[in-house]
Amino acid sequence: MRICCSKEAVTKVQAAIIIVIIVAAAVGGGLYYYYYVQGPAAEIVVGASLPLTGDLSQEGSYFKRSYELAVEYYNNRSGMLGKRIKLIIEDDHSDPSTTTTVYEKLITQYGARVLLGPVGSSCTFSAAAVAEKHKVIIISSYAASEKLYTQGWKYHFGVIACPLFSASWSAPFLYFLANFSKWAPEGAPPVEKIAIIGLNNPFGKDAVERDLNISEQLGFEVVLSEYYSPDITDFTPLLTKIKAANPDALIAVNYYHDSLLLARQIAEQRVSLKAIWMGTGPDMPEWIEELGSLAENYFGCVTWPKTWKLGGADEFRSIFKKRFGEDPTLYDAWAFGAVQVLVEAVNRAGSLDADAIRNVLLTQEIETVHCKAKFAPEGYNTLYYGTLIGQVQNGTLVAVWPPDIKEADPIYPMPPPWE
Amino acid sequence: MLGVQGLLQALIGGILEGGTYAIIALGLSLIFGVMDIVNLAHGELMMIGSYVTYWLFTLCGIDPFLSIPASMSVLFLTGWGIQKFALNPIMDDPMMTLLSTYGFAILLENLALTLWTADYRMIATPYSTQALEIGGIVINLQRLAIISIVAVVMLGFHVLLRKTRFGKAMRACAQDREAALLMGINYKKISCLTFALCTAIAGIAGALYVTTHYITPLSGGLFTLKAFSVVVLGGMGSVVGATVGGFLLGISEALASLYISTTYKDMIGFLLLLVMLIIKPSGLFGKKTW
Repeated sequence: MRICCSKEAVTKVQAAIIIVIIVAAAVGGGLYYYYYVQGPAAEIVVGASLPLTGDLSQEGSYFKRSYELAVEYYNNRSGMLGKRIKLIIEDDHSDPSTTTTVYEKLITQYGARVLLGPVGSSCTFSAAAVAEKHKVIIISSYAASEKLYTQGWKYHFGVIACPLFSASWSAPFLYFLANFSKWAPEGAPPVEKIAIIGLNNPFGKDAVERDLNISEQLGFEVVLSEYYSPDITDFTPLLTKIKAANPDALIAVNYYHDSLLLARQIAEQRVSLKAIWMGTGPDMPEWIEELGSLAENYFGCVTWPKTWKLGGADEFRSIFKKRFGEDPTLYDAWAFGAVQVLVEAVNRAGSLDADAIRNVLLTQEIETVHCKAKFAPEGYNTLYYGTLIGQVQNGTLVAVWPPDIKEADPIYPMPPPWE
Repeated sequence: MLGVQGLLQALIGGILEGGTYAIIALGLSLIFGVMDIVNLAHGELMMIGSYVTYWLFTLCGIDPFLSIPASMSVLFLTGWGIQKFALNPIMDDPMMTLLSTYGFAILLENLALTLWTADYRMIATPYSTQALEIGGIVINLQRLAIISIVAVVMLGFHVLLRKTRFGKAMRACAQDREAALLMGINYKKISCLTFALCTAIAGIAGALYVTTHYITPLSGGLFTLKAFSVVVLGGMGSVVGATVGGFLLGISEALASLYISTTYKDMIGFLLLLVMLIIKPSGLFGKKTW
């Protein structure tokens, strides 16, 4: 007697389900084998946390593309210790506490053996502490706050932290102003009084404090110094104060988004100054594009003159342009440089042992696309030369100081931006 | 020395900024007043309004002030849809509406991140730096235009609430939902219209904001926070409250920056909030006074 109504032992639907289960198990097993069994042997995980959203997302996007480009560059050659580099980047929203979580996760869950730094001194502070705890090397390239190099940390190395102007990009601008007679047109009004404003965070505070000291040494009268929140949405009251203090020059230690608003409101409020220097902004093509004519004549940093040829700089410029259709920014060079330092140091050390890599970083010179690197035990780069002075002229940032590298003469005094 | 001129300049700056705060807060305040919904997506809706304006400006070259109707319409329809399909079915549970609007906040933020990336955007019109200069005091013309539009919107909304049948129905719903239903008011329809109108105002606020400030997909959270500050100061559900609260916050922030330090600007704003919560938790013009 037949119990089942179907002739087959297994119906078509059941057969399909069984096939799907077998295929899924095979694919799953294969993937498991590839990532967890074969993977670790064939590749080295490098972890990084970046601000893909939040206050520093603009800078973060540059870092992401150039970290990835650099890793691809090395993977197409011999990789790291002959193995493929697997780069894992997670978003920290420019938030230091999230940065801590991300790096903990990168080390403990993803098995990152070496790290690349985040963006900004506050987040790097969190990152370096985690790296120190786990004894993992971290190379940062966007952290110049002096406090990062006085903690006694052994495994954090900052490529753009230099011994002379370690915290302040603006310091070279003060020296530039002090050399007034060497560059100013004849009969131009001198710079005697300056105002310094900065972000209310470790980066801003360090730089402003250092600027205040240097200003005093150089004999400038600081008529105003003030900090503002990185979330600022209105500079009008601060500009009212600046106007009342009547300085000759303004130094702003800032990030991209606030420099955009500041430049705009300087024009809106008709604040007339002879020279304005901004830490971030004039060096970014987007800033100049977004502000149009309002961006003209602002001073900023040139940290990567086109005359720099070492570390494969020209090759980097060309592969970058081919990939992204534009010239690399300074931040791209910084990010690429950080990967170069990391890969070179690991390869020369011949192992992933943190102390062996540290030994290479302290004793050997490494060339990158934007500078040379050899580190002090505190973690700063003894070969970083600091910044050169640039000025936005006709929609481009050109080097105006020192005289041997300058591409144009400085325009001084600054014509009112609203005219 | 700062002197009288500095004080006047800061006051004018505070008033101009305060006007923006007021229009940011208006929609949030009324949605709560009429429907008891705390709209956590208010800032994100405003941010979408900013991007609509930004897009029209950069892609089609349409002046931001002329694109206000477009931004309003997009937000009106979005608001209508959210209320009709997502909020009306769960109106009886405040916790559910709160979670739902929070969900929309995250959704809109991520949508904006995908469409416009995390870059900072700002609109620079050819006339953005034109200004009136009276006795050394500078008044930016664009900001003056903004505050005039804010005044017209505020006044218009006040008249709508006070003098029209729709306004009367809105007020009836705010006072007693069941009684309004018994009087034959279609509560769900009024809710949809109120939500849509309030988000349309967020659209105007967004369009105006992006002409003088930078925006990112993450700006929404900041807008919502500012709107809450204003609403706590002025009182929930009140046009007058939102207006006074906005100006109060704008002026106090400006004066704090001027006489104390820009560093403490936000702290002073929140201190004012705390004081208000202690002495008059319903705000200056709390609910049901309109």
